Parts: sequence; structure tokens; C-alpha cells
Amino acid sequence: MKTIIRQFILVLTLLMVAGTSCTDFLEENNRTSNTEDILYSSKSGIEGLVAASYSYLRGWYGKEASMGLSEGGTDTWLTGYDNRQKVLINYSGITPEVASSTRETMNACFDEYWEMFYTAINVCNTGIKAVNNAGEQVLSALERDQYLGELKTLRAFYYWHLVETWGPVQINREAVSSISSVAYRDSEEDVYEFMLNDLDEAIDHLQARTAKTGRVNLWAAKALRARLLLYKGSKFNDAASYTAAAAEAEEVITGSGASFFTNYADCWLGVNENGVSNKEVIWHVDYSTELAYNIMPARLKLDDSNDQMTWSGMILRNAANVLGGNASHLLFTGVWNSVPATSAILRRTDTEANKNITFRGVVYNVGLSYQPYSKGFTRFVPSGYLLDVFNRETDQRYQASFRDVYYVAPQLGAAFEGGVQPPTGYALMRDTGIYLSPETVTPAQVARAANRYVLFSRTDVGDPVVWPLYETQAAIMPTIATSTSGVQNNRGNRMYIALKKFDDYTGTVIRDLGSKDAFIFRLSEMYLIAAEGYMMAGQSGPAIQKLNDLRNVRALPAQDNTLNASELAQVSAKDIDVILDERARELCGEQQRWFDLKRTGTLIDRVRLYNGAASANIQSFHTLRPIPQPQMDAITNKTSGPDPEGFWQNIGY
Amino acid sequence: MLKNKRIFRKPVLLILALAAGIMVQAQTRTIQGTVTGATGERLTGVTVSVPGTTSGTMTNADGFYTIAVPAEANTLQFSFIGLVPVTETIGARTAIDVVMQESTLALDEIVVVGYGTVKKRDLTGSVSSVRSDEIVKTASSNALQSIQGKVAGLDITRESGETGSEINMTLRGVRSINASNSPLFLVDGIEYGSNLDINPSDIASIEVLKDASSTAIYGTRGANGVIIITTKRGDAAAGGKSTVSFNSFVSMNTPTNLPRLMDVEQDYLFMAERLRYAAENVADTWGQTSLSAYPPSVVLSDVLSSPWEKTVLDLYNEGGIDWFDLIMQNSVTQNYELSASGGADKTSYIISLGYMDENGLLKNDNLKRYNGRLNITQKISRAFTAGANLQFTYRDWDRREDNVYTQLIKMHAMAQPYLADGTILDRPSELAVSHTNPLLNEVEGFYSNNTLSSRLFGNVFVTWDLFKGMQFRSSLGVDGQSGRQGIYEDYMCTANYQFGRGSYISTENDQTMKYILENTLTYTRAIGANSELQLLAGQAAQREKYESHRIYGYGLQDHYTKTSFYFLQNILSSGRQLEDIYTESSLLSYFGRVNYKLLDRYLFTATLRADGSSVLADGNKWASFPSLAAAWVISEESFMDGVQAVDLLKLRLSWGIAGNSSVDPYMTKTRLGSTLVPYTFGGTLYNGMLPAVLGNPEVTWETTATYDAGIDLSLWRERLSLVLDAYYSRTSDLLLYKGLPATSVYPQVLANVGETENLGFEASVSARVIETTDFQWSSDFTFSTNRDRILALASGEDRDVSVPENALVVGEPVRAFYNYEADGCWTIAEAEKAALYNRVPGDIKIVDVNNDTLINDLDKRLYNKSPQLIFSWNNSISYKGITLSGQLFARVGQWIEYDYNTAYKPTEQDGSPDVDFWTPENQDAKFPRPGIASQNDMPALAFEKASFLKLREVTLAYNLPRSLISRAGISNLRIYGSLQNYFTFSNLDNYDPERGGSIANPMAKHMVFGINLDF
Repeated sequence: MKTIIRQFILVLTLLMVAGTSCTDFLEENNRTSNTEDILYSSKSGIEGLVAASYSYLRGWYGKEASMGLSEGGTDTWLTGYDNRQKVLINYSGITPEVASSTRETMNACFDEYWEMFYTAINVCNTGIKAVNNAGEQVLSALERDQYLGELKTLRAFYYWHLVETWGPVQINREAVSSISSVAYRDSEEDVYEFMLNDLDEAIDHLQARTAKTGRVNLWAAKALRARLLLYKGSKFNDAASYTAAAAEAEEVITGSGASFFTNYADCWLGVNENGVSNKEVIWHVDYSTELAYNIMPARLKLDDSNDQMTWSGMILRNAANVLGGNASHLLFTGVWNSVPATSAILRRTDTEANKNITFRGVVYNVGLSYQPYSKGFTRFVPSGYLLDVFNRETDQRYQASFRDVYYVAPQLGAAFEGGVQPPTGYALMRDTGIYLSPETVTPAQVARAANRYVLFSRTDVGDPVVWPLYETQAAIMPTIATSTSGVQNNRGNRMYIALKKFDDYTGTVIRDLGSKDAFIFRLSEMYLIAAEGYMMAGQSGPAIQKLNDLRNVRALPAQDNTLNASELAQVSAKDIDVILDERARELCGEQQRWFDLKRTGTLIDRVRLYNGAASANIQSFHTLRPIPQPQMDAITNKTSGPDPEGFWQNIGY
Repeated sequence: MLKNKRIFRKPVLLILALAAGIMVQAQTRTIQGTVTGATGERLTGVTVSVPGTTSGTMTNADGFYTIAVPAEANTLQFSFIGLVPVTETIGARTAIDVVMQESTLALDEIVVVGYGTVKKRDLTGSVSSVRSDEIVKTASSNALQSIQGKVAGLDITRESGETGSEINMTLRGVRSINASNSPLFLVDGIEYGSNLDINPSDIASIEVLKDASSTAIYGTRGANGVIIITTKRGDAAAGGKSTVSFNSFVSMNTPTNLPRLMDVEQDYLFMAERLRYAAENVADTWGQTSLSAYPPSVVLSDVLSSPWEKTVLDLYNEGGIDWFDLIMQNSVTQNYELSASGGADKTSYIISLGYMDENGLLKNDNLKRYNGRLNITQKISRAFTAGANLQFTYRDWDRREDNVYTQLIKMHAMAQPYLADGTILDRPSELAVSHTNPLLNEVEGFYSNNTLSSRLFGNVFVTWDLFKGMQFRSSLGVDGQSGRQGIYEDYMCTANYQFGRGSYISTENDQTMKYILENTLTYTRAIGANSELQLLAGQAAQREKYESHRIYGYGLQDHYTKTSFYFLQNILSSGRQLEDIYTESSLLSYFGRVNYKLLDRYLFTATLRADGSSVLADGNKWASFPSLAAAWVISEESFMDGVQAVDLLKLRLSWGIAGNSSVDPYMTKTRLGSTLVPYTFGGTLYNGMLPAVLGNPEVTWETTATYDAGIDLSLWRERLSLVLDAYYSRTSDLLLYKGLPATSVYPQVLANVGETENLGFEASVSARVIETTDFQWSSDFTFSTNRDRILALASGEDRDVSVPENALVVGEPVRAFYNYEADGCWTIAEAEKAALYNRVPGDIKIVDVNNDTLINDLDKRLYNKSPQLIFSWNNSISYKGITLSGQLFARVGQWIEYDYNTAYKPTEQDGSPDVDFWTPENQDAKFPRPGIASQNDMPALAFEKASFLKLREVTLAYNLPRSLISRAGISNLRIYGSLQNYFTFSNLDNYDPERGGSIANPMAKHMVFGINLDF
């Protein structure tokens, strides 16, 4: 019996062994991902956080999805063949629903942008908290001022996108630390007050910060303030804001140090792609040639296997490897490399291996000849209005902005000169491959082009080898039914006059991922803001002066490009069209058009007038975008209409 | 050739010997005697035979027999159903009387349950058991496949046709939404995982614990059921004799029911119809133009452009190519297992080796597996026994986990995969110029995805018999894994080429170390004459660490085929990305069980387990899981005494609560994202880390309470057995991502907010229909039906359909798609009505459920992804040594989202699946007209009812007669051939619906030849 008891005690002791240090055993240790309180109390942690708060800009600037939201559905662009947002852009059944992979044509990315801007704002809020908490030994007073100035400007900028896209939106003043299923919609007036207050504080903090590095400096903050004041003026019909906008814009014009290129085209040249050195640029989004530097923060939303979701490929640009990159060079380009008869010689040479063009059995190494032409994604086609708003005789900006001629690679052109038989049907081809005329071509032009190059005409001239770009001179969608003979690539929504502002000459190998910086503020916008501010405040003299200053620097050599009589009359009559036309010439493609039309109350009329595919669909409620369905589904205080205690879907959706 | 000859020599000799045995039948003598049973009764109808000859007779009504025996024969065999066969040496005798004993019933066999064993007869819970002989009969790379269709309530499907692909397994339906629904897999008591790298012939038994009274002893890990795999042990009673076994099979794999692409004729029609649509669309003249206006010569370009060597029209006239034929290959899989086992006195052992070379249907889809096992038990003293079960596995796995299929489905038949000189054309199709040639991935060295992994798995244990009935057992289990996955994708591979990227290189190294210490104390004691008490108390501590480090990124556009993924310096320094993962978790448990048996007919079981876990927040770490069960063995009652036919009639009732370990480490804390977010200012790089997940300190386990009622019935000495179970389970505290508005920044937080239920019934019937010495027919039938429902979601929510592929609606099935339903396409006659929906003839007609001429959420329906019922019918017919067996298997009622259907893109330039599309001449078609503008309705076409009936396996096996093989020292020799997955019947004629809808890695059918050999 004794042994039994002894054994029993021994066993019980053994059983307890592993249980003794129970509390230690169940303690949780993490060794990889840092926690907020540790990382954001160090200088490098805060620096990194501030820098990363800029990275969301890359989700909007230079991306396909945002281009659809900021340039699409306006008077300036029609939908190209492969546009993935036709429903959005043609206003043909926009819904708050989330797009799925099989509903790509529906993808307006509303939900992602809603999420992205709120996440970006939360990062700014986290940064503001961290900077405020940082002691003297962590950040100097100068650094504190600098970071607060940057973060508040960014926060205002992100809010501007929210309020202009969705109208009244909730203001998150501080970083989120606990969960909430309710949401509210602060009025647009309140949001504007919040943003302008942020900018006032930022400008205070940034007084000593004027160096241009890509960070927000004093002039970026002031430029944004000028833009927001102008928006406030036009949205709330507020004369004081117009005047203040003009004054702020004047300060930027005189103080920022930005200046104009003599040749407008230089602003878009590869050598000037860097926003830091481009003299017209006040603030830009950095895109690096190091592709990995362009990646965006992951979404906070999880997919159904609980992995962090990636942004749509239309936002990331390259969903498979999240390398990011600027995509704007792809969106406005037609399939120039697939135009029959010339497709054999006009080829995109995007890869090292692809620099060789084999023609009639001989290999021509054409180097990077065709890279700048970019890959044709056929997302946006210029409207007839846009082509015609330019005075092509006096203004540089048509030729500097658009590409209507495609050249044969010099190596091949030389071969043709040397007796190599050009492509069948184009025996006389030399240096020119394709010409697209913004006008209806004359019989003389047709005769000149015969056997020489592929000719596109503004409208159909009834000649089987001259391809029409548009169905009519007006704003009708490029036709898709002009031919049944297999040359579909010559149809107007696939091959058209391309916007070339964003052509990427940076010379990196991976062409689909652009590394050209996206310009947020250029000097010319300050002239346009000042002009509009003066005009709407009834000061037509300074308004005309500002417009003519801009028109003069954009004039073709020895041409009078100043306002004509009817434009002068428009200024006096406060006719906003004169401003909008000038904005189209100067800023087309730069992600402001939809917002400009909306704030000036001209969106519906102008789309009806100039956008054939959307004219029948657009309705007054389309000036606000639908609140994404996931937001509506997740809140518990849903109301059917405006209510200070509730959260409602925008009317019409 | 010589080698082959040698292999054939042995069977030839055997056949000759067999013939000789028949011919040498000269002299005979007569032997007689009486056969009696254990209690002395005379047995009638006992077969008496002389092995190896045709001589045989039966005992008469008095149990008497006479038999003529050839002179050289020396043994007599006596056999009778339900009795242990007797072999007698004749020697000089002429009268041989025999006493025959009743054979053991399966009911008296021991089955393994949590932390112990129990006689099948005494089970109170719902437990199914599959024995080793069943497992080796099916040739498979994963032994779990061999129990498919053999356990009622267990739903097993194979994930894909890829080598090493996972087995999906759910027991009694799905209950969890975010966490795993897979059972807990234990090998010799230690958690293993479902991808079982164990030689099937090393397995002694697989037990499936189904109800909570059986699984609650596993606490937080038991809610989805527990599968206990027990490996074989040597036999100490073998008296020093060793048994050597050799099991091997060769499998010829070929594709089954492949999805097809359009051939040239279809492809031309597709394009012609598109043009015709465009013309009719403008003029609103549906069906009024003729296709004859669009002959191939008009539709298909006859202009020769570089780099293509033939025009599209030429390709059409030549008949095009079949991409699937180019990519798919037949393959051969081989498996070899060799083991030796035995023991004497105090030692027993089994040593085994295994080698498998599995090949998929694509080039470079190959898995090589090497196994080594040693199980040893040593009796140290009267009271102490120690032992170890250890297995080492090494895997060398090449995969084709790339986008070759997504690319393949876009290929036109009118394409040129190769140039005339045999080189691969990078962009083979002029009709879809951007798409690159999927064959590029097969160029030597262009694509590799290789995983090397090794795993040491097992335990060492000691048992100590303290005093009569009291045993202490301590076991230390280890599971050490390390692996390396290297991926190299040349820049010309399909994933990169179209995007103009550089070559992709990635290498990941990971390692897992897990140990588990378990101490248990069991005590068995008879109380009085009529009852028995069994007690179990135990404690377990386990800790797991996982870390992985990965370097990946793109290099230049250069072929690094020689250095592949080994030389990470080829990644451009600016694009080099790192990923580190580290997790650590521990679990501490105390558990106990009481079994009480009264009068052999009233059985009671109670268990309790308490688990403490590191992954939960302080104050929330511990949870306990109780269970109760009772069984009444009616057949032991005195009023059943007269009913001889009934071996067992038992009624079981149980209740219990088990958990689901769905909480991952660090989930209770707010975390920053693991990747650095870069931004550059004037060329200077800054990296930041941003908040990623809002933690919730309140989270805890999901728990499932299960009620189970069952009847076990066995008749006529197990000629017919029946097990019926009905259950109801309710899972609460379901961890769901509670959707939050994005205005709160974090769009979701994990919280215990959901509830689901499962109600089901399962039956298994097993019959030995015919059982004579020469002819046997056994038939087993399993059936299960289950209905799962969501009872609650986050508070205030009755639906979450934000992910239409995984819709959650209260009152509806747990796993469902949520989408529109299509009812064919609009016909020309319906043009007016179609216009109400902004559609034209040829567009998909979406069912407008509420008839309000608006298609919106109200018109969507749910498609249940889970089967409503599963049944399986196994038959085995043997005549002498020849056995024909087969399994008929059906899964009924589940819906799949079939990728093939949505790969049809009527407006894209890509090649297309060969679907039945709408034309004015074919208005009954399911798929919309080519060219039609609205693709928004396409998802409605994705859903297919994937009910199927399969003749999953047919096997013809031959057990060579013992008399023949014993001369060669062989105790058992079975050769077999089987057809696996050859015959499937379903709605889908181009798909094996056992899969979930993906068209990647199609399933294969297998023609298998195998051998089981024991010395």
C-alpha cells in the first residue's frame, strides 16, 4: 500500500510539471509586425508614416479607375473600345454595387476609393497624433511644423476628393481606435470649412518650407487653398471666396517660383517628367523608375479567405505584382500598332527581345523607336468638342497635346528609301505610317495619301481606304460598324487621335508600368483660378489679363492667340464657358474635368451637348456618385433621405 | 527486355505448378470423422477440403464426413461461416475429429477513441472504423482517399487533378463560416493535417469520431470531428518471426471529361455572328440578315502579317489546332512500399520504406515522396514499457501552379503555336495578339515551382503499470517541418510576357517546430460482479512555432534558366522584396473521462476538457468542454434471450460541446501591416508601416453543441449490420468578420457573432449476402443527408451578401452563391419585352422574380454549395481467389460556379470555350449572342448543379492460392487491376463535378495495376 501511495504522488507530481508555469506558457509574443505605440514614437517611424501617407495619392493620380471618375463622363472624352467603365462613363445604370471580376465593365471602383480616402485620412490622423505626441528629443520644432503642415494639407486634399465625389461625407477628425457601425454625413459646407481650416493651419506651419521636393510645401498648400476657395465660390455662389481664390492664386503665381516653358510641349517631355525639376509644376505625385517604390499600401478589407484584398488592377495598374506605376500613358492611346497594312512595321517594342522587326525576311533592330507611342489601351477617345476647342492656327496646345501622325521607324524608313518594297498597298511609304486628320480630308489629301500612308479622316468621305474617325462632325460616338471586312482595328473607337501629354519617355523596360510623375498643380491652373475668381467677382479687366497672359505663353510663334471678341464678351457676361473651354485646352486629361463641370453646374448640359454615348442617359442626380453598397450595408443608422442623425444613399441611386 | 523476362518467370512457374498439381492425382485414401462445435453440438454443412486439389465434401446432419484424399496430400481444411477455419495435418490418421470455435465478431474488436481504446460493442458515441486491409486495397497517394464512401457522414472530395492536391473533407456538414470545417487529423495521437504522407500499408486503422461525446475530449479542436490514424505495430507474439510486406502500384493517368475550346468552325461562326450582330444591332433587324453574307473569306483576314506564317483564313482552312491536346499529357504514377515487422518477448517493431513518384497531366507536375518509418516497443520491466513511432518524410514537388489554363482558355484554334522551323511562336494568334503562348511555360527551365520539404513526425512514450488497473502514460510528440519553395518564371512565361515584366524569382524558406507533451492516468476497476468503472485523467501542453522568410522580385528580361530561383542576386536590387512571418502559440489542457458499465447493458460516458490558449486575450484564455453519453444494449436484456438472430441491438444517446480553434495568433491585438510602404521625395526613399488590423480582445472559440441518437444493430453473426444516427448540432459564438462601414476605416472586425445549425441523418448497412467457401458477396451501403442553416449573423444583420461568391443569409445554407438566375436568352419574338429590361434578342434573360421589370438584388437567389445527400454503395464479389469489387458514389444537390461558363466572353477578341451560343437560328441557346454588348448578366450563367453519380472504382483482384505461394515462402499474394474515376454521370459532359468549378488542373482517371505481397 505504501508503494502505491508513493507511486501515486509521483505521478501527480509529473502531471503537474507542465502546468506549473501556466501563465508564462500561455503568454503571447509577437516578433515581426511592430505595434503602433512603439513604432510611431521613434523619429524614423514618424518619418516613414508621414511619407507613407502620400502613397495613397498614387491610387488616384495616373490610374485608370480614377481617370474614369475625373475625366470620363464629361464633354471632353468618349469611351474607347476597351474602356472598362462604360456604365460609369456613359451613365448607363450606375449602381452602388461592388464590381466583381466578371462585371468588370461595371467597375467604377467606388467602394475602393471610398475605402482608400478614409484609410488615407486615418493615416494622416495617426500621423498628426504621433507628431503631436512626439517630444523634443524625437522631433525638432521645425520638423514638427513641417510634418503637421504636410499631414493637414494631405488630409484636406483627400477630403476634397471625397466631398466632390460623394457630396456630404463624414469628417473623421481623429484616428479610429474603436469600432462603430454608425456613420453621419457632414454637410458640404462643413467639410469645406474643415478643409480650409486645415489648410490655414498647414500654411502657418509651412511658412519656412518652400523647397520643392515632392513633399507638400508652402506653395502646394496655398495652391490647394486657391483651388478649394474657387470650388467654394462656385459651389455656394460665394463672391468672397472667388476673390480670395484669385488673391491666393496670385500669391502662388508670384511667390512659388514656377514659370512657363516657351514650348508647351516641353512640359510633357521625358526630360521634364520629374515634378521636382519641371518648372511649371507646383506639386506632383512621385512615380519612381524603381517599380517597387510605387507600390500602394494594401487594403484593410479582407477577402473571403481573410487575406487582405488587393486594389483593383485598375488602381494598382498591375494587380499581379502590386508594382504600381503610372498608367495614364496607356489610357488615351489607340491601337496604332494593329492598324492593318502597317501592323507589320509599326510595332510596339516594349521588351528587349521585341526590338527586332522582321520585315520581308530581314530583321531590323529598331531600338526603342516606338516606345514613346505607348501601348494602346483604347480607354478614352477625344470628343469632337475637345478637338475643335483648340484654335489650331494660333495655339500650340493642340499639337503639343495630341498625336495625329505615326512615323515609320527611321531604320525601316531608310530601308524603304534604299529600295526595300514597303508594305503591300503602300508602295510609296517612307517616313510616315499613319495620319489622322482632325478635319474631314480633302480630295487632295486623299490623293496625297494614296499608296503612301494610312489615312484617317474626321468624317467619312466615302473612300474605302480612308477611315472615318467619327460618324459625324458632332459629338457622336465613334462608330463600331463602319466595316465588316476584318479591319476592325481601323474603327474610330480603336484608332483615333491620341492624347500624348502622358507619353512616358522614362525609358524603363517595363512599359505597362509608367514611371512619369503625375502633376497635381501646374502654374497655369493658378492663372485659370485667378481669371475665374476675378471674372465671377465682376473684375473682368484682371480676368481678361490673366487669360491673355496664359494664352500668350501658349501661342504659336508670331501668332495672336489672345481672346477674340466673343470670348471677351463672355468674360464680361460671366459666361463660365470661356473658362471651361480654356481649362479644356490647358488641363485636358489632368483629372479635373468632371469636377470642374460639376462645380460650375454645367455637367449635365455639356454632356448632353458633346457626349453622344452619354447624352441620353445623364440625369441631374449624376452630379453625385452613389455611396458604395458595403458602406450602406454596414451602417445601422440608415435613413431614406438627408437627416443629421442618419446616413443616406445619394438620391437617385 | 531481359529484365522483363525475369519478372514474368515466377507467375509462369506458378501456373505450371498449378497444372502439375491437377495432373498428379493417382492414388487416394479415405478419411472420416465428426465435426462438433465448442459446446459439443454436431455441425452440419461444414466444408471439408484438401487444399490445392478439387477434393471436397460437407458434413451431414450428424456432423459426419468422409473424404477421398490424394496420396501426397497432407492437410485437411474445415470451414464454416462464423467459425474459425481449422487446418489439420493428416499424417498417418484415417479418422480426424474436429472441434470448431466461433470466430470473433467485429463487435468485439478494439477501436481507438480519444486517449484510449474501447471494444466496439461498448461504444457510447458515434465512431466509425476502417481497418488496414480496406486501406491497402485502394491504390492512392493519400490514404484518406481510401476511406471515401466508406464512412457515413464523411464527405471527401479531391481538390484537383494536380499532384499532391489536397483532399477536402467535412464531417456532418459545414458549420463554420470563416474558420476551417476540416476535422482534426491525428496520427498516433498527434495532430498531423489532412495531407497524409504516410504509406497506406503502414496504417493499422482509421477511426472517425463523429459526435461531440467522442470529440469533446479534444476540446477546442473537436468541433469538426476527429480522425484518428493509428499506425501498425509489430507483434511481440510473433516469436521472433518477421513478416515482410511489399505493396506497390502503377497508375496510368489520363484526362477525364475535359472542357473544350472552340474548333475553327465554331470560332469562325463566333466571329461571323459577332459581325452580324453588330449590323443587326444598328438597324434593329434581328435575324433578318443571313450568315451567308459573312463567309470565312470575309470574316477571316487573308492578309499575311509578320510574325505569323499563315493567314487566319489559311489556318481556318487547315483545320486549326487543339490546345488542350498540346498541353495535356498522359502520365504514370508509381508507388512502392516495403516493410518488415515482427517481435519477440519484450520487443516488437515495424520498419518501413516508401517511395512514390506521382505525375500529373501537365509536364513538370511531379511529386516524389520518400518515407521511412520505425515503430518500436520495448518492455523494460514488469511495470515499464517504452516505445517510439517515428516517421521521416521527404518530398520533392514540382508544380505547374501557373496561369497556363487561364491563358489556354483564351487561345484560338486558328493560331500558330509553332513556326515552321519548330520554334515556339510567342504570340500565336493574330486574332488576339496580346495573348502569349502557354507552351512557353514548358520550355526547359522557363518555369519552375519546386518545393522541397522534410518532416520528422512521431512520438516517444513510456507506460507504467502502477498497480492492477492503474496505468500512467507519458508521451512526447514532435512535428518538425522545414521546407523551401522556389519559383522561377522566365520573363517569357505567360504570367510575365504579356505585361513586359522581367523574370520573376522567389524563394521561401520556412520551418515549423511543434511539440506536445501528454500525460494520462487510466484506472480500470470492476465494482462488484456486474459493473465496471474506467477513469481517465490527463494533461497536455503543446507549443508551436512557425517562421518563414521569403525573398522575391523581378530581374531583367533575361533567361536565368541555369540559375533559376537559386540565385537571388538576379532580382534587381530595387525590386527585391522581403516577407517574414513568425507565429507562436501554445495550448494547455486538462481532461478527464469516466466510463461506467452496468450489467453489460447500461453504458455511461462523461468527459470534460479545459483548454487554455495563448492566442486569446488575458482573462479570456480558458474554456471548458463537457460531454455526456449513455447507451442501452437491448440485446443483453433478458427478454431478448430467446432471440438468437440478434448479435447486438444498442441504442445510443449523447450530448457534448466541442470547440473550433479558429482564432489565429495575435488576433486580439491591433497590428501594423507587415509590408513596408515606400514613397520617394526627390529620389530619397522613405519607408513606413501602417496600421492594418484593428484587434478585438474579446474574441474566443467557436463552440458546437451536438445531440446524437443512434441505433446499432447486428444480425446473424454480423451477416447484416446496421448503424443509424441522427444528429442536431448548433454552433455558436461563430467568428465572423462583422462588417463595418469604411467611414470607421477598418471595414471589418472579427467578433463572435454568428450561429449555425446542422441537422442530419446517416445510415450504414453492411451485408455479407453470400458467404460460402468459394463464393462471397458482400455489400456495404452508406448514406448521409445533412441540412445546414445560418441562424444568426452580426447583430441586426439578416444577410451579408457583400461577397456574392459567399453569401450569408439567415435561415439559408452556410455556404451559398448569391446571384441572378438565367432563363436562356431573349428570343426575337420577345424583343419588345426584352426592351423593357434594356436588352435585345440574344442577351441573357435574367429571371425577374418579382416581375417589376427591374433587375436588382430582389431577383437574386441562393445556390447551395453543399450536397444534400451523399451515398455510396460498395460491392465485393469473390469466387475462389478472384475478387471483383467496386464503388458507386453519389453526391447530390450541390451547386458549383463553373469557370468555363464565364470564360465565354462574347465581345472579347480572345478564343473561347466551346459553348452553345445564341444565333437567330439557335434561339434556345443558353449563352448569349456573340458581340452582344452587355456582359453584366454573365455571372448568372456560372452556376451549375453538380450532382453526380460515379462508378468511382472497379477492381479485379486475384489472391493466389496459399498452397501455391506457400512453397515460395509467401503467405499472401494479391494482384489487382483497377479503373478509378472512369465512369461519371452528371449534367456536365465536359467536367468532373467532384471539383468545385475551377477549370485549372483537370481531374484524371487512373488505370491501376498493383500487388500486395507478404512473406
